[in-house]
Amino acid sequence: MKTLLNHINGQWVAARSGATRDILNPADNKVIVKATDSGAADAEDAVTAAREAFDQGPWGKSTGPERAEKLFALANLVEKHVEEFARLDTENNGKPLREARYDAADAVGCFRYYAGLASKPQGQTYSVSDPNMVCLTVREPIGVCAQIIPWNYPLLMAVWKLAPGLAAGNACILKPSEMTPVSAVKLFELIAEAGFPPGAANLILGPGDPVGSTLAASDRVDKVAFTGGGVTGRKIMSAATGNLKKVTLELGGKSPNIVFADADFEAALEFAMFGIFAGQGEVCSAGSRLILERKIAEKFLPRLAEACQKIVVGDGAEAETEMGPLVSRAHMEKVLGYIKSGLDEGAKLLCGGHRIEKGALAAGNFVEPTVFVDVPPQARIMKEEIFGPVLVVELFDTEEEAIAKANDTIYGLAGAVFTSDGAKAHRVIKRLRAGITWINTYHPTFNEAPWGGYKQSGIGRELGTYGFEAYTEVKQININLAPGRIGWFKNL
Amino acid sequence: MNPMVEVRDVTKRFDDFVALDRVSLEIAEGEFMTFLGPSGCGKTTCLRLISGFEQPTSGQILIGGHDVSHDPPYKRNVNQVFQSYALFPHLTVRENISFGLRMKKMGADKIKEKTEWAIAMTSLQGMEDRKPAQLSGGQRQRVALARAIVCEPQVLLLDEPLSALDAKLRTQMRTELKNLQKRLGITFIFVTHDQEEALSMSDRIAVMNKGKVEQIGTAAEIYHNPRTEFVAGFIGETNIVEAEVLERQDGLILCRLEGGLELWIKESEGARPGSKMLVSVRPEKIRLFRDRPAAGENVFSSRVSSEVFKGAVDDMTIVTEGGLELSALLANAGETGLDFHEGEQVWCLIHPNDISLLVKEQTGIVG
Repeated sequence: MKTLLNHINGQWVAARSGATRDILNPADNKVIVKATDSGAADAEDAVTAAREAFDQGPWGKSTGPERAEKLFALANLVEKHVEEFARLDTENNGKPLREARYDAADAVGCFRYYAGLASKPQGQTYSVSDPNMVCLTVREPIGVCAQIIPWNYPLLMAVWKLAPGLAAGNACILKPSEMTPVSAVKLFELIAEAGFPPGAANLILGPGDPVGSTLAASDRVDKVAFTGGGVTGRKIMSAATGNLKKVTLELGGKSPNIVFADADFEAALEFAMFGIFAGQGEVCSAGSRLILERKIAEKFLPRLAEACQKIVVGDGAEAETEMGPLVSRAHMEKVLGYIKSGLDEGAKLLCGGHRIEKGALAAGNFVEPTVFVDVPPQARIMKEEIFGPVLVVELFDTEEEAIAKANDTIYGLAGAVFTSDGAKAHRVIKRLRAGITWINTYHPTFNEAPWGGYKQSGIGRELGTYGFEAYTEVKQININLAPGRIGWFKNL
Repeated sequence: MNPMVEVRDVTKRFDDFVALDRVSLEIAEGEFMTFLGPSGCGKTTCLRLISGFEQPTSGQILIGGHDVSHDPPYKRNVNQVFQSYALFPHLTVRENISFGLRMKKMGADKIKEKTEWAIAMTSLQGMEDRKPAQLSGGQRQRVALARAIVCEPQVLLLDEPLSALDAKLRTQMRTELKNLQKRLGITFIFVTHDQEEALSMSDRIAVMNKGKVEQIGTAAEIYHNPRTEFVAGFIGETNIVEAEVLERQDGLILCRLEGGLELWIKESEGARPGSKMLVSVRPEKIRLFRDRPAAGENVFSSRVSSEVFKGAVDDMTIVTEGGLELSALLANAGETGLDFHEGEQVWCLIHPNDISLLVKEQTGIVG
């Protein structure tokens, strides 16, 4: 069986220990490939390669147009392999093929967006009080960036990190989740083909500890960008204090989806489902709390429960599948544990709540689309990110109550409001403490617009120009147009 | 008196697809109205527009005389029963039925009272603490009905509610549903593709096809006097034959059918001498005799070309002298009845009132 390798300094290399890890298909838990399983020393090798590429190699001196050319070439290569990427992510992550295809198409768009941005104007000039001074800023790469990504969007998360990182001229080290490295390896084959110089982009496969932690703690790394859970996010932030490296974190959420009684009923219903069940609920921005106006609960919830029971759950590779398996057996157990805790804490199940074990699904990690009502405000399923197909429903009577419930969370990643009243929509969005918001829709994400959260959902923004800036330092340059003595010291 | 529900010139488009095309109909208070038609005919869309789950592209929906076209579902005093019942699997019968009341924060006493009433209405006593999985299909159906009526809607919408049941239970539930509607006295709008359901329960039926209402009428009107080719073909078995109108005389029309057979047909609008139309004759309306009947119009001889025994009836195919093939049904009345076999000559009689002239293409609102 093939073994996936690290890509360091332009070379495919195995971990020094020779250790490997089985990579599974979550639909049946069969081994699809083996991956080299790196340790701290391998992580240090990757840092060395990136450091040399940035400090001494051509990449550190590259111009915006040169980087744009490479990124456009890479985008074209990825575009040629969209279907292959989609199949790889479905096989490795479990998500339905139709979603994986969107991810792959988005990946192409993301590379193109940042390829374009690489050569666009950056920096500012300032009119200052001294007429003989020119004051301006330039944006420069930060240096070596460690990029640690999760398993829920294996390809797309890699691209959200690499595209702006490389466009800005950094040397990057990507560490995918140890569970889902397959599409990242394919991506690095194309990165090599696109002609990036050795060390500009490095791939290291292995677990968060020690690989991710080594990268986060290394004094030779200038920035760490992480997408994942809050617990790991805190560890990364702590580890990064040694050299005060730049940190951007895109963490979890418990995002509210507020549905008012005057909303387009069918649209609100479908988006309530799409919000939580897209990607099996393994989405940081999932609309995991449905905040529903009491007046329509009587009609809305039976429809919701009925429709949830009709969701076609199965192997993501099957054309008719609408929801796939959870990424791993352990994660499935964690989600089922949350469901049990919900019941133990007095919440009422409207539908779902079980692992699906009929027929071939018994071998995989399938959980029924699940909806809870009557959830006590302090219940864990109300407060914590489940990262699975579990929706909690809260009812409200007034706009004020809806906003209060929506903001009653430590998170602030995303949120949506459904109403046919435009002014009300804006009033609610204005008061929603979240970084990504939607009116009468849920989930659309654009490479052009910033992605990130308020409160404990993270630090900084990805995508758009904000995402590019997060991979740059700002340098102020002051130029004296009239060099000469200033007379500060008498005895020169 | 105002109709309870009025659909006025309603069109519903989904992008380029016209799901409903200028549909108008009125439903009286306490009426059992059925929307009948094949999959994709627009019947469920019409139901969703009445419930408020969808908004019309143009036209109006009135309930109780009020224009509710753009009111959200919660503002309409209608409730809906779904094909798959939409029961909450983890809640008991009582919890399922009282769910809507509880969501409305109604007082406990009131909830209890209304829930007991709905349980009694649907004969679910003794099953209150069971969960849906512990009920039969028919019982689940009754829970869905109880939940829908507990909030006392003016109109109950039923979207193919019997289609998940087996054939025997479906027949039984038809009677139950009809009786429930009589007891409640509220308007039922029932959607089905099953003509037997429609014929056996409805006060009136709206037959729908391709987003239009082809005909509205009682079951007997629709069956005996179909107005369009689609209605004649969709409801029951029929012979549809091309015909040319020859003359009109004393409230009858003489038509020449394919194969030269000339038949008198009851008067029908739009039938002018020379016009080409279609005629529909139900197989059971062709009466067969061994000897030529003494009197009456529309007597002709034929030959039995095939005979299939189907228990209560024989399914016959006869061929007229001019070569026109027709289906006929012969009741098996035992020893006293007539019995014809393949190859025999027979005399046929069709009463002019038993033949319908059809509109060939759909023309929208008829009847």
